[in-house]
Amino acid sequence: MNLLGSGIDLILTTARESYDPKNILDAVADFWPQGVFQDASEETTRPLAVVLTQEGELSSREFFVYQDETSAQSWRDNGKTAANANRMIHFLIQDDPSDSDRLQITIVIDEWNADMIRLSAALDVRLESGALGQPHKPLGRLNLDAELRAAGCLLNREQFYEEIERTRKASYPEWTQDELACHPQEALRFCETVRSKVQAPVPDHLIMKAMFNARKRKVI
Amino acid sequence: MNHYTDLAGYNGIRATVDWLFKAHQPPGSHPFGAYFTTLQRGTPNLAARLRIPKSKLQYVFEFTDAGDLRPLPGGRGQFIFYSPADYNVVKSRQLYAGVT
Repeated sequence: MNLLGSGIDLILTTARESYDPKNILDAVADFWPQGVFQDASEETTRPLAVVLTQEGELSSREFFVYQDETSAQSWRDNGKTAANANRMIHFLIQDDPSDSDRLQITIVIDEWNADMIRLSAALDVRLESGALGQPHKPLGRLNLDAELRAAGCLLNREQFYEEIERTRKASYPEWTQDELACHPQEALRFCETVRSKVQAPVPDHLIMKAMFNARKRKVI
Repeated sequence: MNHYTDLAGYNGIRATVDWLFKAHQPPGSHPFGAYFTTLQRGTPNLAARLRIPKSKLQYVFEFTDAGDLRPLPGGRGQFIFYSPADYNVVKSRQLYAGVT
């Protein structure tokens, strides 16, 4: 059997005016922190973290994000295999043929599983497409590395996630992230503890958002 | 228009004067059909863009487009097309068949 028509194409749309490809990459980085970026017309790859911190606009209209360098190498050497399926997401951006104010974003995966459902839902929220429900309120892009630097924190995104998880498990071993968030006084105390550990005045919302992002990363 | 395949597919299709590309149900969500691409041999990241194993890129059939193939919905419709039934390519449309 020829496999040329394989894959699942999820088609979202987003406002042209507010579109920023780094928004997509940032959402994927929450799930694949070791993710690797590649423009579809280039041979070279770059870590997602590097692309996200580079100044200037990203002009790619077609690109891949691999789960990690091993996955990128596997796709480069073999194309699709049973082992690397769903470890690469293909993005294509083009004009929305039905609305000149919007862009159409095609997200290609191999098959639906729990991880891909979560990731596509996160992308849907970031793109404010409303494809999986009602239109969403705009969310500012969270570039955690930049936000941490702005708060005077010397840790990168990965180190910060690890510190958050370490602190949460040590201080609230019986609670899930949701249970902690449902106890505001304790959540504030938790944020204070994290700030003292990282020795920087990181805002509450960044700590709480990172706590939930850390949870999402664990299930991928 | 191009159709990439492996040795078994290559030998099967080239066995007749006219090329007959058999429709099938591809993995994923796409419709039953015979699938083709406008992407040429040597296109960077060809296997990734088509989401197929490299082993399926060993051979290619190239033929002139008659404008009767349907684009895949979404962005990949820029370069992936399909016929909802078996697709026949007569000799006058055939350009090249062989290794990539």
